[in-house]
Formats: sequence, C-alpha cells, structure tokens
Amino acid sequence: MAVKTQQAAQEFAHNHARRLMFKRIRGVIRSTLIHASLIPAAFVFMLPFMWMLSTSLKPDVQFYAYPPILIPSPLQWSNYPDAVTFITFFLYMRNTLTIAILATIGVLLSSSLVAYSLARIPWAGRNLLFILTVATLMLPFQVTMIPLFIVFKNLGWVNSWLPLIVPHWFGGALYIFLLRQFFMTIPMELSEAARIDGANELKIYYSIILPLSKPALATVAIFEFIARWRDYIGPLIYLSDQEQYTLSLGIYEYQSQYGAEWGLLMAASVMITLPIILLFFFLQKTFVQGIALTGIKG
Amino acid sequence: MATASQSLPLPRRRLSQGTRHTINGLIFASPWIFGLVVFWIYPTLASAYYSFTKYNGVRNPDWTGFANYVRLFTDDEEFLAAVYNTVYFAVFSIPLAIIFAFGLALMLNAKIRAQVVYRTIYFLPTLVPEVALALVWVFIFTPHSGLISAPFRAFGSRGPCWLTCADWAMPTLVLLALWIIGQQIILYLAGLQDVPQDLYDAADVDGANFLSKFRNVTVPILTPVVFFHLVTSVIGALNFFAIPYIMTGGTGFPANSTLFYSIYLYKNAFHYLEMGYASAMAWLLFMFTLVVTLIIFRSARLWVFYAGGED
Amino acid sequence: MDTQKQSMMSRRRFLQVTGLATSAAVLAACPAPAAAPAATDGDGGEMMEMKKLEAWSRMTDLAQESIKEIIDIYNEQNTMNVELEFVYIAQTQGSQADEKLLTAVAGGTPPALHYADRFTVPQFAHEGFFTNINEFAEAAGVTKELYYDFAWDETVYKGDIYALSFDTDTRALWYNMDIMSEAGVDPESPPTNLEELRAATEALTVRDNTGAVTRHGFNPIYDQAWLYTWGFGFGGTFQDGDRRITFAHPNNIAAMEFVKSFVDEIGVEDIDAMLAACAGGNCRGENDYFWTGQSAMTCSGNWKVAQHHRYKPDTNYGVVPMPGPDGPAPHASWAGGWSWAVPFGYDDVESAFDACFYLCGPEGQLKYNKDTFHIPTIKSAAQDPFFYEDPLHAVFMDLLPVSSARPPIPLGSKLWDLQVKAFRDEIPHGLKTPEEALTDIDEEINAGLEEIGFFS
Repeated sequence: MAVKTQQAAQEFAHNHARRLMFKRIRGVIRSTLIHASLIPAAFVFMLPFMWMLSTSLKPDVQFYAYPPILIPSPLQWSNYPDAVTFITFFLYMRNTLTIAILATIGVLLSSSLVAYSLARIPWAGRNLLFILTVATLMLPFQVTMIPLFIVFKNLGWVNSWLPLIVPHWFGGALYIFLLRQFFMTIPMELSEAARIDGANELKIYYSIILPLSKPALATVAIFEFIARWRDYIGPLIYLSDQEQYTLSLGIYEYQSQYGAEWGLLMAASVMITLPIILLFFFLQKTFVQGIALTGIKG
Repeated sequence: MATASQSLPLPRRRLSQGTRHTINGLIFASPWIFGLVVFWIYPTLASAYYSFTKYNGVRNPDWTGFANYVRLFTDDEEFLAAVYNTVYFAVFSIPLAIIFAFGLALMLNAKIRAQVVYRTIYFLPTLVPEVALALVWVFIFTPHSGLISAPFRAFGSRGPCWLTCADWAMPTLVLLALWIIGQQIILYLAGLQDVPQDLYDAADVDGANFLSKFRNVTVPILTPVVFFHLVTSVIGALNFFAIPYIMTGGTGFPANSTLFYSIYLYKNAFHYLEMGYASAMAWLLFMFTLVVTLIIFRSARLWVFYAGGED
Repeated sequence: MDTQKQSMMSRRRFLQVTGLATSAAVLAACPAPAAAPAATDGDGGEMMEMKKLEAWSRMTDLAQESIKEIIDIYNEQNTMNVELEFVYIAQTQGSQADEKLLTAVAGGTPPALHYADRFTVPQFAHEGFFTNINEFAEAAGVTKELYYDFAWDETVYKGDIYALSFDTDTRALWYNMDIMSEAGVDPESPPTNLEELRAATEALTVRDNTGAVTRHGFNPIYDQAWLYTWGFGFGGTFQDGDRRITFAHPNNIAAMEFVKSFVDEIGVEDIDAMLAACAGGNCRGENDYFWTGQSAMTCSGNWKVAQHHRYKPDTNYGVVPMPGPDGPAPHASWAGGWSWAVPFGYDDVESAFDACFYLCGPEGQLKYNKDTFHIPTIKSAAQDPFFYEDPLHAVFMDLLPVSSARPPIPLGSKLWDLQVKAFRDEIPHGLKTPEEALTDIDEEINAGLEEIGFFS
C-alpha cells in the first residue's frame, strides 16, 4: 500500500509537472500568437505618428518627395526651437493645460455624481433622465452653436475661459452614460448592506462605488482631457484675446493663406501630442489594478 | 448637499424609502439637471424653431412651416446622397469597430511583455492634431505614390484609387475609421478590469476552454460596455465628419461619394448661410438617431447583463 | 529696439497669464463662479479712455507682422481717439466658412473690422452680416475711380458699399526653366498657345514602369487653373448685362471640352492622384508640386514670386500669360483678393470706417502689398515702381488692366462650390458633358438669384 501511495504520489507529481509544463508551453504559444497579431497592427497604428515625427525633422521640401523619405537626412532639429518661437507656444500650452485640467476635474466630479443617481439610486424619473441625457448627444452642435453662444453672451462669459470650463462642472452626457454603465455592473447588495449599516448615499458613493470604478474614472479623465486638449471650435468661437488662445488655435498660425511652415507645424504637433501620451502612460496603470478587487465582488 | 440624506429635517413620520430615494436621486442628479436647463434647453428649442424658418443667423427668422423638410426630401439630391453614404458607413463601420476594439482590448489585457507600449501605440492615432493628420493621411492614401500603395508598386501595379473613385471611396473611409478606435480599446480595457478573476477560476475548475470562458464569462460581463459603445458609435457614425472633411475638403468628390450628412449640414449652416435648412437637417438626424437608439435600448433587456441587477 | 519691446511684452503677458491661471484655479474650488477670469482689459489705465477697436483676421506670419505695423502707425496718427487691435482668428482646415464671425454677429458681439475674401462680400452684404458704409465712404471721398473696377465691383452690392478692397492678385503660367532644359524643351520659348502647351506638357511629363506620372508637365485642373481661368482664356463670359450667370456661354463650353480632352490625354487617374495628394491645403507653400519639382509648369498667381525667393532662389523660373486657343491669352487672368468690412451690429461705424479707410487707403495698401508681395487695388498705388522691380512680378502687373473678376453675386459660396464640382469632378470624370454641367450651374444659381429678388 505504501508503495502504491508512493507510486500514486509519483504519478501525481509527474502529472502535475506535465500539466505545469503544458500550461507553460500553452502560455508561451498563447503569448507568441498574441505578439504575432499585435506587432503588425502596432506598426499600422504607429504610422501616423511616425510620419509626423519624421516630417518634423525634415529639412526643406522632403515632405512629398518621391519615393517618400522616411528617415530624413540631415535631421533638422532646429524645427523644434523654431516652432516654439514662431507662435507663443508655451503660453498656449499653459492656457490649454489650465482649461483641460479644470474641465476634467469638473467633469469627473459632476458626471460621477449624476451617474450614481442614475445607476445606484432607484428613483422614479431616472430612466427618463437617462434617455434625455443620451438624447443630448444626438443634436449636431452646428445648429445649437449660435443659440448657445447667445446664452453665454447673456451670462457675460464671452471672451473668457468660462464657456470652455464651467459647463463641464455640471456634467457631461457622454461620461454620465459611460459611468452609469460601469456603476450598474457593481452588485446592488453592496449598497444595500451599506444602507443597512446606516451609511448615507454620499458615503456609499465615495467609499464603495468610486474605489471600485477606478478604471472607468480614468477612462473618463483621459477622454475628457483629450477632448478639451483638442477642442477647436469652442476656443475659436469664445476667445478673442490672443493671450487666452489654446494650442488648437495656435497650430493654425503655422499656415498662411498661400503657404505653410510644414516642418514647424509638424514639430509643434509632436510637442502637442507628447503631454497626452504621458498622461495616458501614467493613467493606464489603473487598468491593471481592477483584478485585485475580485474578492469584494459578488 | 454633502450630507443631504442625513441632515434632512426629519418630520414626525419617517420618510418612506421611495421618497428618500427620489430626494437623493434628484440631489445627486441636480448639477446635470441644472446644466440641462441652463445650457441645453434654450439652444435645443431654438434650433427646433429655426428648422421651420428661413434663417441665416442674423436676420429675424421667417416662419416657413414645413418648407425646409419638404425641400430636403423632394428637391435635394445632395441630401439624399448624404443620407445614403452616412447610413452605408454606419452599417459597415460600427460592427467592424466593435469587433476590432474588443479583440485588440482582449489581447492588450493579456499579461504579455510590452503591454504598456502596445496600449500607447494603439492610442496614438487618436491624439495627433487634426491639421497634422490631414497631411499624414492624405500622404498615405494618395493613389499610386502614397505609402499604402507601395506594395502594389512593387508588383508593377498602380494599386487602388482609394478616395479618388466612387467605388473605393467608401470602403477606404470605413478602413480609415478603424484607425481611430483607440478610445474604444481603452473603454473595453476598463471594462475588462471588471471581470472577476474568481469567475474564470470557477470556469477553470469546470474544465471550460478559452472559447467557452470567453462566451460565458467575458462577453456577458462586458455587455454594458458594448451597449455604451454601440449607442455612442451609432451617434458618432451618423455624425461622421472629421476624416472625410480633411481628406476631401468637404467637397463630396467623386460623384458625391464622400459627402456625409454632417458635412452637408455644416456647409448649409456656415457656407450657404442657411441655418434654418441646416436646423431641419439636424432635427431629422436627431429623430432618426433617437429612434435607432430607443430600439437598441429596448433590445438591451435581451442581451445586456448588469451584475448590479436590472431596474 | 524692437526686441526689447517684445521681451517686455512677453513679461507682461506672463504676469497676466499667471494671474489668469490663479483665478481659474480659484474658480475650480467653487463650482458656482462669481467672478469671470477674463483679462480682456490687459493693462488699462495709463491712456485716457482710448476706445478699443478689434480687427479680426486670419493673417499669419509676414502678413500679420505687416498689418500689425500698419495698425501701429494708424494708432499713432488717428484723430478718432481709438486704438485698433489686431486679433488673429484661426481658419478651419480646408473651409471657407467664418464660423466665428457668423456666431459673433448673430450673438451681437461683432468686431469693428473683419478681413473678408472679397468675392464673399456681396453674399455677406445680402445676408445682412456687413454694414452699409456708403455715407462714411462718401464723406471720406472714396470713389470708384480710386480703385480697379474688378475690385470695386466686388465690394458693392445693389449700389451700396459694404467693404473696401485691400489687395489683389493676377494669374499666369509659371514654368520651371531648369526642368525644361533638362528635358530638352527650350526654356526661352515657353508655350504661347494650346497646341504648344499640350506638346510641352507631353515632353515634360515623366512616367514610371506602371505608366503612372511621377512628374507632371502641367495639370490643367490644379492650382489656379480654374473654370474661370479657362473660360476667360477662351473669350467666354460668366455674367450678362442683366447680371444673370452665363456659365454655359459657348466659349466656356469650348474651354471645358478642351480641358476634358487634355485631362484624358494625361490620364484622369494621374490628375486625380495629384489632386488627392493636395487635399485639405496640403500643397500650399513648400509642399506645392511646383516647388518640389513634381510639376514643371503650373497656372498660378503673383504671390508665388515671394515664395520663389524664399523656397527656391537658385532654380530658374519664368512666367508668361496663359496660353489660349489663338496665341497668348493675358485675359485668362482673373483677379481675386481681400477686403476689410464693418460687421453688422458694430455700433461705432464712424470709427470703424476711419480705421478701415486707413488700412485700405493708399498708405495702408502700399505698405501691406510691398511687405507681402501682393498688388494694391488702388490704381495710383499699383504704379509704384516697387511692383515692377522683379521681372516675374512685372509680368503679373501687366495683366492687371485685362484681368476680369468672378461674377459678384449674393450666392458666391454656392456658386464657387458648384463650379468646383463641375470642373474637378463632373467634367473630368465624364459624369456630365461640359454643356450639361455648365447649364446645370446656370439653372440652379439663376433660379436662386431670382428667388431672392436679385434681378428686380
């Protein structure tokens, strides 16, 4: 019997090792397959930026050279310092950053509150409000632009950053919708248990729902920041003082009626893109933390 | 507001739970309700009114009844072309975008080397300023000499005509739109963090294979995100503007094959100063989008799974 | 001296901006904003109650520097006690629309002056976006005789003045002499008629092994070779005595039939490829196929003289009037250009006009057009020897007396879009015959003009 047990144990260990080996091999095959499909796709997705980068370092008229030149020679690094002096680049960047940060904070706070109401509090009008919220996304801005301008004019906000920031403190329809979807995936029992324990809604909101929704909140932050960073029509219409302008307006200064400073424009574009890449790089860490929370979930 | 639900003056009888929920719901939603009233109601009603008028933005609107709507359907070839192109684009690009974004997100969620780098790269095209994108895309998709034609050139062929001929224009735009699914990938990645590992572990114990785990665990948990993506991409596709505008200057060439609804609307509003006509277009689009969206909402009961329970 | 002024400016700017950021941060702390962080008043106080006027314009770079200097001069010498201020307005990529102006006028917050593409003036006047400045123009002694006819006509709508013209341009055939020598075409005898143009195009075109063009001899629908250019060159007209549109004029039809056969000869795919590469303004400036040497000849304007000095000073170029069916056709040239207008709703029209007339008067025009290599619309200013110094520019100056203009009608944008569509899409792709395409333009535009009572 002892032998048998030993045999069984050996067999088990053997099988276990084999299973482990299989698992490891499967893992290797799997990750190889994934890399094999991700790498070509990454190449395609990298193209626009790489071409922009390459063009930003091109001297003279190599842009449309035929056949195309991918690695310019010599590298025209001077496009970068020239680009930041051709327009008041850093002033515009500071303006853009201020607007984007303030709007993002506002949208995070307000949208999460409203989404909480729509997803976690069972009240009668919430479905109607939800549909209304989604409906606000459907009317093209071109036809509401002028009446909205008149609203801001009556508020006395034209010619300032207020129309670009304040509305975001009242919520953004897209983000309310997005956060609602995420909040609804969190088991209701968590809220109910907390309510029985005497927690009020605000406490449930910030101590249960928000911590469980970090990836969704990061997504909202990234989306809104990018939207404000790239917003063109808003600053165009509401700002009339060059000291308040944003990068999205400034980038057009590299073009004139008949010509354009292409090298500078591309260098500026690279510099405009970098801060968002950095932001994304840091924020996307939140996307790997969610798994740790499984214990709490039903 | 902060402690509203507790510090509400308690009357002699305790408020019923339903009333408490209604009060709390309204308080939490109050910023948005206030925002809707101040920033949304007037512009919306104003544009609805304009749609029944002749209005150029500065003169007083002249009431013309349904004239704008009648003209759209009876006397405007470009409008019909724009409707056709936009619906065509939506039908092909939305499913493709969902499949690609979902698929790439799945792979990007796997524990692999250089995960962060991949994610950043896939996100890049959505970050490039539009002015620069115009130059880049146009350069890539120029027939014959463009980058994308290089492989064809190597075989002594001219390659496709891309945006310059009517047959290829729309498929090219559908293809181009797949380039900017970075945000949707992020969305699915965020959704994937919600999938509890123990569900996978349980499936492993049951001996489920990859496919069945995908079908029975991953997909159901992600349906709320798919739902969001579906609704917003319907809205997005019907308002598709930037790429065709950049690539063709909004001309709609060749033969109106790249004329999109929102481009034509924009031209009416700001080139031809026909704000009333543009408003009628906008409201038709609004109604159509609303109907499609409500159908999706209705169908959601059948396929969207909320772990938090349905209302 | 200038640099010192600038660095002081930037420090002041910096202080303003930090102030702004702080107040915005305060705003962030309280969601219900009480104070606007707008710092539009800048550094007020030291002057006594100078009235500020804004001049909105899309000018950048050299043009912006020049106009700012002109404005500085005006601010020093004007007697209206006003301070004119340049405000740069971004121009939407690939669009001719002025979203900002339209919104501002609709919202009742227009600037004092707006820089407008001249051919859009009748439309803006008709739609009520610009102010009638008759009374002030008369008082200031502004008359038709002062300006070239084509420029004057575009600023007048139904007998009233709505803008003052600022600059103009003419069109001719540019050719790259170095490429011609290399290809064995005599650079000293550029094409003078259409047969020679076709022959030169053929000789200068280079194709690769797939038959695709890698260097164009000449693209008949690129750059400034427009429907108007060919139509005028063939002796056509675009408007009759009753101010009706006449695109289907027999000579215009003949011109388009020629263009179609020319396009077919080169190959419409190659023409399309070039136009596609240039979509969205991508071929402006250094990217122009002409400067990159990917096109040996092009129909273009006098502004290329400045670009020549800047981008390709060492290459040899020549300019001649556009070739026509029976020899040189200087009348193929048409003149465009810009103007300044007072938007509707601006209250102090008198001050605004005073500033406008300085910019568009002899002094302002002369400085701006010298600085930017454009052409004044004031006849006397255009006589300045400066504009004849460069032999290439002199060719364009000689075209001024024979240049035409696009028909000034209140449906300018619609007409522009329709003719572009006919010229670059319908006719070259054979979707319509030239006659059909041109007749359709006439029908649609004349019906539109009828409807708004343009002929009555």
